[in-house]
This record gives sequence, structure tokens and C-alpha cells, in this order.
Amino acid sequence: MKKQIEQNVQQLLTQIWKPGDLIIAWKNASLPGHRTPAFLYRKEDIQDIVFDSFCDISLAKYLNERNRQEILPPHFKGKIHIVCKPCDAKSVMQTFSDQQISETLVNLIVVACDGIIDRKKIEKHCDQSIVDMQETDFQILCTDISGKEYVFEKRESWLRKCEDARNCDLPYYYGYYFVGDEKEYRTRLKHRYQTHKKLPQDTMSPKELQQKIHQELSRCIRCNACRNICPACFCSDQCVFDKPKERAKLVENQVTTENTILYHMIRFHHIAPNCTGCGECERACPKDIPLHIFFEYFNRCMEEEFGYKPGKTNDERQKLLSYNLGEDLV
Amino acid sequence: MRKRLKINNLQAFLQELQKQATLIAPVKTDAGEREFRPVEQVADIVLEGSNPLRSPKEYLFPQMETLYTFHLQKDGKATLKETLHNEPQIILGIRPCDLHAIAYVKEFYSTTHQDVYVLEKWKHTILIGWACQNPLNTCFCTSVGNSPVDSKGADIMMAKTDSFYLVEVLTVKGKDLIEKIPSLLEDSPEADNEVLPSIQKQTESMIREKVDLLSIKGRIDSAYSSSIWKSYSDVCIACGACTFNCPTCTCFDSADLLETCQDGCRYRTWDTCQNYAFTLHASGHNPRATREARLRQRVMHKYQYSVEQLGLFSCTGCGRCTRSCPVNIDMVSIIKDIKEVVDHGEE
Ligand code: SF4
Ligand code: SF4
Ligand code: SF4
Ligand code: SF4
Repeated sequence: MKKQIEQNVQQLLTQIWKPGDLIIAWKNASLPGHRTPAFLYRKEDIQDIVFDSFCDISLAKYLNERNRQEILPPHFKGKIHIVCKPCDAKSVMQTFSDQQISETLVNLIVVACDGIIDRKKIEKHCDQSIVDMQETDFQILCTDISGKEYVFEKRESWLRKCEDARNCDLPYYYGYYFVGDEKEYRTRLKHRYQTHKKLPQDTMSPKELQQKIHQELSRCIRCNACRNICPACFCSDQCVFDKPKERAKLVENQVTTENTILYHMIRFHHIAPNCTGCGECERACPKDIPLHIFFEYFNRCMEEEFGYKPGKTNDERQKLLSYNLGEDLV
Repeated sequence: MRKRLKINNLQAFLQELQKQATLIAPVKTDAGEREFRPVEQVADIVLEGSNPLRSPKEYLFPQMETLYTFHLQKDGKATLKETLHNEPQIILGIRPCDLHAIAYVKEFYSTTHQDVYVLEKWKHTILIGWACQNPLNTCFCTSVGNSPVDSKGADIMMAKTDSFYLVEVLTVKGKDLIEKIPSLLEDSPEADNEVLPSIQKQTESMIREKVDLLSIKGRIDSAYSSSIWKSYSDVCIACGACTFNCPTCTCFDSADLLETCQDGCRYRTWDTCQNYAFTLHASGHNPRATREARLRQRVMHKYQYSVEQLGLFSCTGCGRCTRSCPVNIDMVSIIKDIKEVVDHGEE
């Protein structure tokens, strides 16, 4: 099933790719269950493209202005073809509405997705480091360094975001290619699990919540992986946390839990109107800090208070960023 | 001097160590991960299992450290007070890769300049190594000329066998410590010579790949203008997670913090070369403005510049950069590409 989809992606790209274009997709990385972003400029490289349950990294991040400056060759005149899961497609919508890239530059290719495997979760359940990881229709098969074999049910190994099918719906946008049967995909979604997962905010007293946040964030090493992977964080080198030479210092560099809490609070407030709930920050965190306790809560607030879901369309005006109702984005 | 420790005596041995100094060892935390932490109860120590993501480097070179405090007196004079932390500590369960890392950090901070903060701590630290039997799929210590049982840099080296622990005392510091706790250890027979080599053979057979970097040591800068850097830096999001978990990264930034109008401190925190602002000049010029330049700097420092400076690779092959990279950039792929370019040139 997955293999078929991979072939379809490659076939579509072979048809729409033109010399001078860039393709952003996934390819295999050397370690088991690792996929990595691929930037392809040649037709013969299209066969390296992979799409399977291990394509966890969101490629939307690479579209924003600063990243394009790094990646694109000088005088790039072509189109960017970007392969996305439906959740990442929403981050691409957000990138459009944040005016980080012009829609005319991009060919969005959305792939029908049944869920992505949480590799870290699987690794935690194995006694030793994994040397092989394969998928079948319903299972993940692993072998560890001592030769011991494991079988995991896919439905128990999804990334957190994939457990709530509302993250998987498609944006209101007519400019994308869909790989797979779109109608069938939409029907399938209705039968998938949809629920508001309980957050600590629902079950804990303010005091307990404070303790929980303190405890989780005390492990943070302030590596900034959560910020840098976030498709909604596009301030890049101008970020207020980066030794701002000409700006007021918001948070001391001193790594204390208080400063760390401040860092996260500022960041999550700042991206609240842009955060699509893609979960990349949580996935990127090398310390496995459950950052969903923040962004899922903010997502919910945005929806309940403003009726607004970031990434739903390509041109919705951001809430919280304008001074007056009806004001245009600068 | 080599001794044996009965399996049953381990707890008692650890308790004795704990009586001598602050004992730091891998313990299971509330979050379920293993980390080097000051030990409260020796029963919490988990020596086996994969190497923790955070290296023990932070007990010599902490992520954040106050260098001195200052105080403005009523008479207008200022006083400075240096804050040296030099309580004795024992770090237990250090893998050979991290022993190398600590040796490198110590070497770095005694050569380029004398960093009293690191060196004082080092003087008061006893390092107890642990022969590695649980490599990860990211490990590549053999590629940089290390081995999973190498005891270089340790004061005492320990290894686990099925029936006992081997305790090898390597330095005067280690001897002084062991002499304070004599009763638990037994003599080790000649046959124990085989313990480390057999662990080495076993562990090395599990390490995924060996890229022979020793054969190109000192010549790696010939890959400087190669196109390999861009192929990785396109993917890199310049977060710096790799450098914050690397046991040999030594860069820091310092700043002053005013607590009141009279009191404050100067502190330092780790910094990362992957950040744009790291080399940003006040003029606005940035000599390493691109991610390509920054990623190359990180890798070149590990394999070339530190060789020029100190004759050492400053990568120990611990694989923590690969483990922490959110976009799956793999150091082994990078060094494979480097070797290819150095040996055979660009295609
Ligand atoms: S990725 Fe994790 S450890 Fe790094 S700054 Fe974010 S929360 Fe902290
Ligand atoms: S804050 Fe986290 S969940 Fe929200 S857009 Fe950024 S990476 Fe995705
Ligand atoms: S560069 Fe990577 S493998 Fe080498 S010492 Fe640092 S973290 Fe370990
Ligand atoms: S962890 Fe990966 S993405 Fe982050 S700076 Fe290092 S190489 Fe780049």
C-alpha cells in the first residue's frame, strides 16, 4: 500500500517537474527508521524519494524566507515542489498566510497518510539499540543490536498528533495535488479516532499544573531545537532570544528553570496564532519534554475564543496580530 | 593494580564511595531517562544500559556557571568574589568515549588558556570508567581510534563480567581512594587479563560501522571546499542541539547579571557555533553567515582544527549529535563523505 503511494508520488513529480525546479521530499537516512529531508534538482533523483510511516519530519519549515535563502541556488527561477502530509500542508498554508513565500512559487503535493510512527516511543520499548526497523501493513518489526526481535502494532505506535484525526484533515485550498484517493481519504478520516485528549490543564489544580510545568521544563537544556524546527517560528536569526545586540533582552541567557519557563511562555504565546499543532517541537526535543501541554492548550484556546484554526486556509487573517478588526496584514 | 569486586558487594562498594565524596553516576530520573546526577541513594544507580544523552562533562564544565560576584560598597568601592566550586567529587560509570571527552576538555582548557574553573574541578574529581557493553546504533568510537574498553583518562576503570566486577586502579588519585575502602576488594588472578579484550571484541562486533579516520588524520581540511557541506547544511535547521549534547564542545558566552543596583554576578553559559549570532560582529559583518559555513566549522573543529591545535580528534564517536538531531543528520554519513573526498577527491 505504502509502496504504491511512493510510486505515485514519484510518478506525479516526474510529470510536473521541469528543469530548474526544486523538489523537497524525504529520502532514506542511514539509521533504521530515519528519514531525512531531500532537496532534489535532477530528474534522476526522483527515484530516491521515500514516503512511508517513518516520514515524521515536517518539510514546511524549509519554505520560509530565511531557509530558502540558505537552500536555493543563486538566481533560482524555478518552482518548488514540496511533498507534504496533510498535517504539514496546514503548516504550508500558514507559511502562505504569513507571507513567508508566494503561493505562485510552490507546488504543494499532499499525500494520503494513515499515520506516522513515533520512533522514539518504539525505541524506548526495546531493550537495546535498534539496528533494523521495517513496516508491514499493520505492524512495525524491529531487531536490536543483540539480535532480539520485536513486533509493535502500528495503531499503538502513532505520533500523538496522528491519534486525533482532526489533525489530519485537509486545508481549504484548491491549489494542491493529492496523491491517493481524496474522497476516500476524507471518508476514512471520519472513521478515525477524533477526540480532545485530556491535558494537565483539564485535570490539575493550578498549583499542581505549576508544579508539573516546573518539573518538565527543569529538564530543558535550551538547545532551541523546538524553536528552530517550528514552521511557525520564522523570525530566524532575528529572534529575541538570540543574543539580540540591538534589542531589549527579554530573557537572560542564564539557564535557570525560571528563565526557561519564560522562554517557552514567550515562544508559545508568540506563535499561538500561527501554531498548527504539527507537534514538531515535541518531536524535535532531545529531552522528550511533552510540549503538547502548551501548544495543544493554545490551539484549543484559539479555537474556543476566536473560532480560529491556524493553517485552515492560505489567506485567513491572523488573530492577535492586528490592532484593529479588519486590518490588513503588513 | 587490579582487583575484583563480588557482584553482591557492589552496593556496599558504592556506599563506601559515597562516603568519600559527592558521588555522581547514571541514575534513573522521574522522567524515566538515565542521567548523570549526584546520587542520593546508591540503589538508584543504573550502570548498565546505553550512555545517557547528557554527558558527564557538565560536572567539570557546567552549562551555566557563576564566575564571580560583585558588590558595590557604601564607600563607592567595588569588591569581587570568585566562585570556585572545588568540593571533591567522584564520577562513576563513564564510558570510554566520555573519558576521552573529559580528557580533551581538560587538555583544551589547560592549553589555550588556563581555565581555573574547569581545572580546579578536575583536580578534585575522581573519574571511574566503565567498559561499554551497550553500544547504540549511533556509536562510532572505533572510527576515531577509540575503543569501547579504553581506560585512558580514568583514575579507576571498572568492567562487568558474569561473576564479578573488575576494578583496575590506574592513577595515584584512584589508588588513594581505593586504599580507603580496602575490605571489599579481592585480588584478581592472571586470567583476568582476558576480561577487557573479550568485552572489546564483543562490543566492537555490535558497532555498526568503522570509517577509518586515523588514516586521513591531519589532512581533512582538503575537504574544505567540497560540496558535501551544503548537502547537509540544507537540511540543518541550525538549532545547536548537537553542540549542546556534545561532550567535547567547549564554547561559552558570558554576561553580567545585576540583581540589585549594588550586587550582581558574571556568569557563563554554553554557546553554540550553529547559531547565526555566534560570530556576528558589532559592525554587522558575519564571517560565518551561512549554515554551510557553520556546519563545516563544527565538523572541521572536531576532526581537523583540534588536531592542529592539540593533536587530538575532538570527536569521541559518542554519536550524541546524531541522537539529538531533529532532522536526522548523521555524523557517520558526514565522515564517510569526508573520507571519500579526502581519499579520492570530488566526483
Ligand atoms: S527542544 Fe527541548 S530541550 Fe531544547 S529548548 Fe526546546 S524544550 Fe528545551
Ligand atoms: S509550536 Fe510546535 S506544534 Fe506549534 S507549529 Fe510550532 S512546532 Fe508545530
Ligand atoms: S561530534 Fe558528535 S559524535 Fe563527536 S563527540 Fe560530539 S556529539 Fe559525540
Ligand atoms: S542538531 Fe542537527 S539540525 Fe540542529 S544544528 Fe545540529 S546538525 Fe543542525
